[in-house]
Amino acid sequence: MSSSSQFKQLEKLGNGTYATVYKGLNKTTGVYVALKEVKLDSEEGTPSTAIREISLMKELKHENIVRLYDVIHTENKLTLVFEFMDNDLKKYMDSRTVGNTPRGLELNLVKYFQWQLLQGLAFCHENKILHRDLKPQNLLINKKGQLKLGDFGLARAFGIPVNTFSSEVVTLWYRAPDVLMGSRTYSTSIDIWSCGCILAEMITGKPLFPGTNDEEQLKLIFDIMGTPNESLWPGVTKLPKYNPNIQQRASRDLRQVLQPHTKEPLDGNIMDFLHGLLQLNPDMRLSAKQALHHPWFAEYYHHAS
Amino acid sequence: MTSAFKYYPETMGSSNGYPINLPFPKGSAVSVANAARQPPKYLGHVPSQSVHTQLPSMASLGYFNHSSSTYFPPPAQLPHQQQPPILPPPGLMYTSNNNNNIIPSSVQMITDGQKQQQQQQSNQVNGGVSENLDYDIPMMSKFIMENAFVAFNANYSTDDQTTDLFFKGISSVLNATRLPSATIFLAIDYLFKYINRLTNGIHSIGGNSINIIYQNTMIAFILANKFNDDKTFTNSSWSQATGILINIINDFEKQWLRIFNWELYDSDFLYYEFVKNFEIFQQNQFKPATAIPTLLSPIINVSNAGTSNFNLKPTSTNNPLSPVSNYETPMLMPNNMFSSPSHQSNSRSDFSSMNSYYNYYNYNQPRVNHYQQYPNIYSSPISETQFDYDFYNFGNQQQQQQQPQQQQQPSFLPAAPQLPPPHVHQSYGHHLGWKSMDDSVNHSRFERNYFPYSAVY
Repeated sequence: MSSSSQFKQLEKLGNGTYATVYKGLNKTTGVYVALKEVKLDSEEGTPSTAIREISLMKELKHENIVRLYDVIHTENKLTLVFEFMDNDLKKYMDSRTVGNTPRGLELNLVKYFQWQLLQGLAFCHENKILHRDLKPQNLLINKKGQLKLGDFGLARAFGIPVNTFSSEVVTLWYRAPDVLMGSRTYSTSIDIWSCGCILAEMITGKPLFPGTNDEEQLKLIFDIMGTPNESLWPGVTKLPKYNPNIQQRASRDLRQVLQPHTKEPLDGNIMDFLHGLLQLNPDMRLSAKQALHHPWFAEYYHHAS
Repeated sequence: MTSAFKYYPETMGSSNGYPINLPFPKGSAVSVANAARQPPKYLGHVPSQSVHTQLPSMASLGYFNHSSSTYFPPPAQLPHQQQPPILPPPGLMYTSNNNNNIIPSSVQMITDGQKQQQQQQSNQVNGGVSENLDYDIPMMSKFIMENAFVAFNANYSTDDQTTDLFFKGISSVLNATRLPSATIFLAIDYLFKYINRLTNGIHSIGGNSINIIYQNTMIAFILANKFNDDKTFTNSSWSQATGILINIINDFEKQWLRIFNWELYDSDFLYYEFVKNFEIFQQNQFKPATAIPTLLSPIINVSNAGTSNFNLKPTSTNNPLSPVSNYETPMLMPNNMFSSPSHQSNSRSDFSSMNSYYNYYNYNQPRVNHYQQYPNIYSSPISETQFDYDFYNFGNQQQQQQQPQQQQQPSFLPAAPQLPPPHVHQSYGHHLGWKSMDDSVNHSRFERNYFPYSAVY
């Protein structure tokens, strides 16, 4: 157990969904930490986001998941003490923008980040936890090139049957089409779609589907991935927000969409991999485990184990 | 120090200036003061028609809280004039002359609700967590009640007025919140685990008076809802639904999280065992063998069933079923876990099929030192003393002995009169049932059942 006096609060790192994050220094160990401060409101009680983030992250000890060291619960404030990370993927990519032109990351770095992302995610899914808010801002990186999943405020256990899944999850740009169409039966595939969006964004340096509302978001997705139908995606027309009048579009070649924004050639492996993540039909998407075994990662899994 | 929170008896004690469950939500100071001054008095039986009435949902009051983006659903017109009465949760009994105070307090609640309206969005038509409940509310309420009594080693007779109120309180909360069964089972799981984790078992939280069982069961609901559901309620909504003061909810919630060390996630949660047990429980409820009108408490039931000498003699160290200081063999435990009338006819098969998750809790104990206290789930925490359990349960002359000067928990005694039921307001004022019940209730009977447990400490 720590007390807040054990930490020296340094500069503000950012505002989370329900908290403010500061850099902190553990005065006894000299180690930097991230202090996530949650204001407690007596009307609300302990926020469910905090309850989930803490209880779930306590279970998730993995090198690709930000470690929660401690929780300090005082009268009007809850402080989560996290492992300190230098940066997040969003800021890192922004820092590489030249002028107004976003620049993607080198493909070998993209692959390394994606590998770590999927390692962390596979661990979550093995432990029956959905992250539900994967996006570059929530992927923390450090100078060693490590990438770790953070911000489990929207995460949720799915081991027990659920009939109350919300479709108001995941930041719009990274939200899967099934969720956008109101599906409440989603599972791990919801996180995989986000991983696909993140991969494309790392390649080009800009978000793949930057919609401003649900409708536009779906339109942007269908513009590139094609409009789903019953033969490709059985059940899609039964989804609550399925729009039968939507203009039918054929899918575009994703490589042609992405290639202009990166100098390195996108080969068949990476495109096949990306398609595996960005399947409209959630049942067709790769699992995190399967994704880690994709040939695109051959150089990693041949070394591992 | 990380947490200034003290154990409940001290925290909730008279030093705080309020009894356990004040009858009214904050904002009605007058009522609170009055209530505190009232002697414990049981005022009413709950009107019979109301339990199964569709109650206004919590969301309709505008306290709905969504985990991804705290929003407030539509107010649903706040039809408080027409609302059916909500039942007073147990531990929240009215004092007889407080009826006139109820109106102001409800006005307060409505005002709060209206304040929220502006922020509300409009996609929560149905108030509770689940649109379609996957269980029957009275049935589930009984199931919860029985499990809670087992967890607290409480042998309340289920045909008792006290437990009836408890039952109705649970029903009313389920009606208002519409928690999915998975969340309810998780809450029961939490309740068992919580008591397991307490250094001195239920001793640590003031015993097993109905009030304490009720409050802790509600906190289990709150945490299970916050952990498991995407639709969650604020504590102030819970305060309205349960009748428990928000300060108490907040304090309890904090204590629970500390005791749990925030570890609310258990990937081994035996969900399907709960499902199975609930199914069996339901089947038993419908069996024709059910000659007995109401449920028996676990222990009485089991003893009736003639399975060895299941009586309430925790002092007897020789009785393998009432272990004294060390936990007992898990095998025997389930035996007294469930009480359903039909146990009498087929208790054997019932208990063998019902034992799974109780075994589970027991099984886990040795990992942690303080789990040694576990057996108090079915043995009295004061088992080392020559304590005449039967006497305290059924004798009534001893009540005077239990006056608040008892060190550890004076505050529990005045807790009896309480009640600020949720969102139902007007109905109390003109509800014939309340007043007329006043005289008809066997007053001493209630107290008799209420106090003995406090007296233990």
